[in-house]
Amino acid sequence: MSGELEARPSIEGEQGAWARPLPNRIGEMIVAAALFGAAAFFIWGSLYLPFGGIGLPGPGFFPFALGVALALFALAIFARVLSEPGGDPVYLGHRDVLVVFAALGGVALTFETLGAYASLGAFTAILLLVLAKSALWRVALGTGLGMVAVWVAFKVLLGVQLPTGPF
Amino acid sequence: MNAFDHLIQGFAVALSWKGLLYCFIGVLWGTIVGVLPGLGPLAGMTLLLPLTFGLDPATGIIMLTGIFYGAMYGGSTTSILVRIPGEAASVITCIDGYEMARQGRAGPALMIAAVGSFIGGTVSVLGLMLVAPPLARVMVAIGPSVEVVLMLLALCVITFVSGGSRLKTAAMIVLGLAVGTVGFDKLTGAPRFTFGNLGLADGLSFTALAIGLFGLSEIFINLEKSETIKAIRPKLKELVPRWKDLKDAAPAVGRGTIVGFIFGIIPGVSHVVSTFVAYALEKRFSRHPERFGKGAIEGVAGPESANNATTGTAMIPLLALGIPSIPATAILLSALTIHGVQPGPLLLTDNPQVFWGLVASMYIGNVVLLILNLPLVGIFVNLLRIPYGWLVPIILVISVIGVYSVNFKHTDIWIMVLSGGVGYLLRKFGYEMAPLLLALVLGDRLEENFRLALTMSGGSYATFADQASLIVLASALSLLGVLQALAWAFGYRKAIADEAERA
Repeated sequence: MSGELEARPSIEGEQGAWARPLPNRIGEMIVAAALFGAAAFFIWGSLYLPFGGIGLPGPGFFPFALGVALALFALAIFARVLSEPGGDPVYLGHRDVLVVFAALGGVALTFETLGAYASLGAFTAILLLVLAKSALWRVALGTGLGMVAVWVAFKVLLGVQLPTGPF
Repeated sequence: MNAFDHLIQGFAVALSWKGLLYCFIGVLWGTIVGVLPGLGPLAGMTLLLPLTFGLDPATGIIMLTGIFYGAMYGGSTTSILVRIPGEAASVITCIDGYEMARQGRAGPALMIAAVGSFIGGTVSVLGLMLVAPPLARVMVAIGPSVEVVLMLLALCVITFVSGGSRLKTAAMIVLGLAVGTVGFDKLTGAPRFTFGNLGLADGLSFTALAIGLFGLSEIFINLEKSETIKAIRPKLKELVPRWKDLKDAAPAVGRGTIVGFIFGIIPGVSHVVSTFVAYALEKRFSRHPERFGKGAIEGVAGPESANNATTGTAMIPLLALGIPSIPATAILLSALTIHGVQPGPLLLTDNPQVFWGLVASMYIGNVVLLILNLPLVGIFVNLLRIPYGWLVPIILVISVIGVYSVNFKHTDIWIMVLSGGVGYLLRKFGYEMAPLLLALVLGDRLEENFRLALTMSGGSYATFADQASLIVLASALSLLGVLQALAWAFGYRKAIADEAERA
């Protein structure tokens, strides 16, 4: 099975080398389980809310009903996955996707503490280095010009107050 | 005041420097996202949504709508020159458009696509202008129970016409409705799933979710592809079509416009369905159906007119009923709500400048697009040369600032990032994001009207089957039934199968 998976790389380029195949059936099961988890969350949360009556529903009625419906759909998807043959494997872990996702997490973490310009500047520089594979002087120039453009467009023209951090 | 007077007022809004500038920005950005593979109208609209917050409602909505129909124009360019559909509605244009380009006739294909799009777009705006006001007047009289019936019907139709698994689509709809319950309950003020966090009082930020689920997940998917794009470049003098091209294309443009206008009413995938139906219709009407797939100009003219004709019709449910039928109009609904404008039957009386300004701007925008798309086609094709590695940081920086600037909360950036990851994973396993987004937008109102209707009826569920609800339900179902039958009769499924085989 694994030989067959490795023989069919669906992702192009060297960055795709980081990607690992996940058998479709297992992936589908994980997603169905996650949906079931979300359904359980809504059902559990709604139990702490006034339910009202069937005729006059309270704030807990809708989330409860939706949670039950979602749980049923998740189970139905699970059952279908079990009854059908698995499709092509799904490749997860592409290098560029991971880098962008991690860099965005970094922005979310530092946006207010470091300030928008420092946070977004570092983010831009990392992406230009890793994704565009630009020379350092181009990265520095692109990042600098980009942040000036951000300042002009958002702060000067649109009046958006961005956090400046300690700087 | 009659419709003509209102339209004059609308032109006053659309022809102001602000109206013109933002209409131009909208259609230009729309064309760009339409040209760039992987960035469709939805991602384009969600990414620029936050920029509209500093504008008045009419101008903001003019810009966003410009992106919507601008992307329809731009999508055809890459379909014809590169055989990569810029957005889903342009898939069918690839077949004959690219064949024409290979035969050295890219110019006429682009010209006919642009003119067909212009005619389709303009006629559909005329239809929007004529149909929406009387429909809104009828809908003013309806109560919350009918609104619930209409919203449920829209969600059911989306499930059934969805291209993917119906089970997964239904799950996405329920998930969207459930996520929509986060925040303070509108009727009682009870906090739901906020865990004492006042930042969640108004629910999860729609902008952050929309940008994450659509924009970010799209970028992640595109990062996995590394294609070398080879575009065919036509010269300006080659754009002029021959007399025979015009003669062949004219009836196809007319039929495509009618098909697009009628099929635009189908919730969910109207613009895609209409292009397939228009293509199948042209093949059926043609005396030489064997030419299709080998560079028949009708195969470009029909679908391109149809996909632009759906844009005006798709606005009718949004503006007259307040119910978005496709994801793009869900973004518009969100934008209007953020600006304090409630779309629906009262829009025309409470905010006529928004409705008529939008209608007028769509006429102007279609002209601007025609002017932009033909002489500047070379520039738009060159956009494909910009390395994706440079585009991604630009798009993401705009997204982050845009999301933050809605509520000035950095938690919204987290919501965007996490929903982007979730959207990416769900898409990898064949879940569609459009039903989730539509349900997210409709969830609040569906619940509110559902509970309001029950309160007004003293807890009787029979209120959802009263005379008005049944009339509306029967009319809507009949209309959808006829459209479905027409789609089948003209071989919609066969056209999809043919295209899939070809791909």
